[in-house]
Amino acid sequence: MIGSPPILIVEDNADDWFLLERSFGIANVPNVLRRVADGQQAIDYLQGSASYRDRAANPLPSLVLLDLKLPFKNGFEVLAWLRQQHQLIGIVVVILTSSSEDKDVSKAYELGANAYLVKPTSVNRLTETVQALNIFWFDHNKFKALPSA
Amino acid sequence: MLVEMNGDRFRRILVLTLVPPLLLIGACAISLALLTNHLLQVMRMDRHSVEVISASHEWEKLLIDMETGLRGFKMTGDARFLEPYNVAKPQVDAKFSNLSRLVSDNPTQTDTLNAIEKSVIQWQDLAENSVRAGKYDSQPASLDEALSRKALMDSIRTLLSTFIDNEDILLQARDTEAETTKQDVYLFEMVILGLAAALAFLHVQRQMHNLADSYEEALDEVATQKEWFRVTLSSIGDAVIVTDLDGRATFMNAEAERMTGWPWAEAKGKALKTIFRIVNEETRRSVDDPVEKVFKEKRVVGLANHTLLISKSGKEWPIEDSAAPIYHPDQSIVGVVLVFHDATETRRSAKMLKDHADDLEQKVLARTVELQRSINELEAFSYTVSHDLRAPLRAMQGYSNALLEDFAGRWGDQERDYLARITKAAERLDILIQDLLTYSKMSKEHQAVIPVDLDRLVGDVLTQYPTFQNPGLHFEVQHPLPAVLGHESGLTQVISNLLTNAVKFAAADRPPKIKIRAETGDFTVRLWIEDNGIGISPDNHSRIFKIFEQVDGKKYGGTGMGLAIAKKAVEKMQGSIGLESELDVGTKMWIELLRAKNL
Repeated sequence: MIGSPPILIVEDNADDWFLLERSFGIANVPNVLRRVADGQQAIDYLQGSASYRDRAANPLPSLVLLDLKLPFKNGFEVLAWLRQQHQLIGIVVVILTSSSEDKDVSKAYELGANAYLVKPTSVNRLTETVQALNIFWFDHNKFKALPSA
Repeated sequence: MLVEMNGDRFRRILVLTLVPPLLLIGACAISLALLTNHLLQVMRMDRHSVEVISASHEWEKLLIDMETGLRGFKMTGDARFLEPYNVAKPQVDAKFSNLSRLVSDNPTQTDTLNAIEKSVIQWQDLAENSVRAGKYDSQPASLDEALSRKALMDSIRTLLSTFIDNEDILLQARDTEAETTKQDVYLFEMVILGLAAALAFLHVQRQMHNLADSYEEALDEVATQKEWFRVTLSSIGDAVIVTDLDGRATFMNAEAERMTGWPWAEAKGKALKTIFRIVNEETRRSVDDPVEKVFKEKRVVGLANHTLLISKSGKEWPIEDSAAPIYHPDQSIVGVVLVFHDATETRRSAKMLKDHADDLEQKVLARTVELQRSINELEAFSYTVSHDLRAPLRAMQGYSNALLEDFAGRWGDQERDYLARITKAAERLDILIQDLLTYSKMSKEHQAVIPVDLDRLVGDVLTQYPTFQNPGLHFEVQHPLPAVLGHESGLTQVISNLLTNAVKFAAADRPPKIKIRAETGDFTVRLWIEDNGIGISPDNHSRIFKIFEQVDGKKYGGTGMGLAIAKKAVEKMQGSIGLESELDVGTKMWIELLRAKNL
């Protein structure tokens, strides 16, 4: 599956990133994982600005795994911004956060999230989640074609 | 103390004063009229007598005329001498008849006239014969005839003279009577008038005296009343000022004198504006003149709030007052009565009350803000706990797991045990954190209760929770369970917690048997979850609902928050929770909730 769009993971916590990347590995997800560590970087990546100008090197993702609690710009701000970008319609946003607060869930859906996942404590559960994610979004789901470089 | 001097009484007195004199005058007038009538009668009779006498003379003259004419004729034989005779002859009888008629009421005179008539008839016969015989013929027969006629004539004249004399006597008597009657009338008039005047005077005097007494009495009463009102008004605790139609003071009581600083002697007749200076407490502007307002609106008016009275010496009084029109009985306004009192105390109390209320409101506001801040802090805390505290936990667990799995070949049993313990500890801490979050969420959430079907909910919990799928467990549900008022999520939490406990604290020597049943009351439902587990000693019954309390935590695991969360959740649903338990026999937990009438 070389050449399929990457998955953009917005995660500031290095440990979580490590475990997530490990779970993606165990789950054998073929997509390239691109990681940004804060909300601003996520926006920069998505709009191809700052250090992400080269769209060929930084292709648009078909799916964004977005944490909510992030430095500079939080997940909600990124989501709100993204849903305002006409040319980025179709990018699937899955919230992956430790918050199970109802108000966070509501707000995420209001702003246009496609799914909301709570980070499981156990790594096995995390791997299961990643596997389910992969099966649903990449095996069964049909994405909108994205503008390339 | 009201004067009863009304118009009726006054009228009655006046009538009593006037009517008797009027009656007296009437009686006098009638008497006088009768007397006068009598006088007139007498005077008419008087005139009658004169008429009779005059008629007598006329008749006599006729008779003499006849005799004279006859004598002339007799002596001369000339018929011309008979003319008077012939003229008088037809009148004599008529005149005589008239005379008879005039005296017909007097028998004496009538008798005389009858005597005269006899002689006259004889005389007339003789005279006729004599006329027929013609001129005297100097024979003795002629002389005899003349002498007998003369004798008759003399007799007639004598009788007539008597008649006239009688009538004259009557006339005299009647004159006298008329005179006497006249005198009587005068006298009577004098007497009657004098008497009437005297009586009238006495009566009027008496009545006037009565009237004067009544009037004086009324005046006394009015004066008493006036004094009573004055004393009453003077004694009133409130200040009172009365003005006339021009707004000039006509009365003020001692309190009004004290507050305005104007002694009555000076204030009397002064314009109200001068003695009663009022301004608005806040703006210091003068306030509408209450008297003018009363005249304009024709009703009782109250002063605006925050009115200050400035006394003559400049002292300021916060006052409350009202002004009312004084009505004359004919409904016209004749003045204004102004009543006011010192409102210093009232206003101070009101201000204190307001200050107090303001202060309280301020405090409430401050506390609310503080409380809100606490809530916000708590929320931020919960958020931090859920995000930041759990992240390292996930890392601990994740890395131990990664170590175990990714480098499985490198570890001996002991290392693996240690890594498993790290994972276990992290898991426990994670559950603890989640329970804390659940508990704090329970505390702050406010949700309206809705009907929830216990039958369905208990069924769902039993089939969906992995914990309850152990085939060694025996659940007995007494269907149907009723519907209650609650929250779906809260109830799920409570029931799963209670069932988890029932399963968890099973006795080692017997298979767990759990019974779920409900008691339905009029308004409530009590749901029982009964197990045959280790039981709880009575000492610990109240402790177990407290946060972090577990009678024997180490042995059975868990955070010790299950019942605390259940209690909080039930209370949020306006319910209660409790238990009956015997050590080593089992525990019967119950929750009581409001019964739902329908689903």
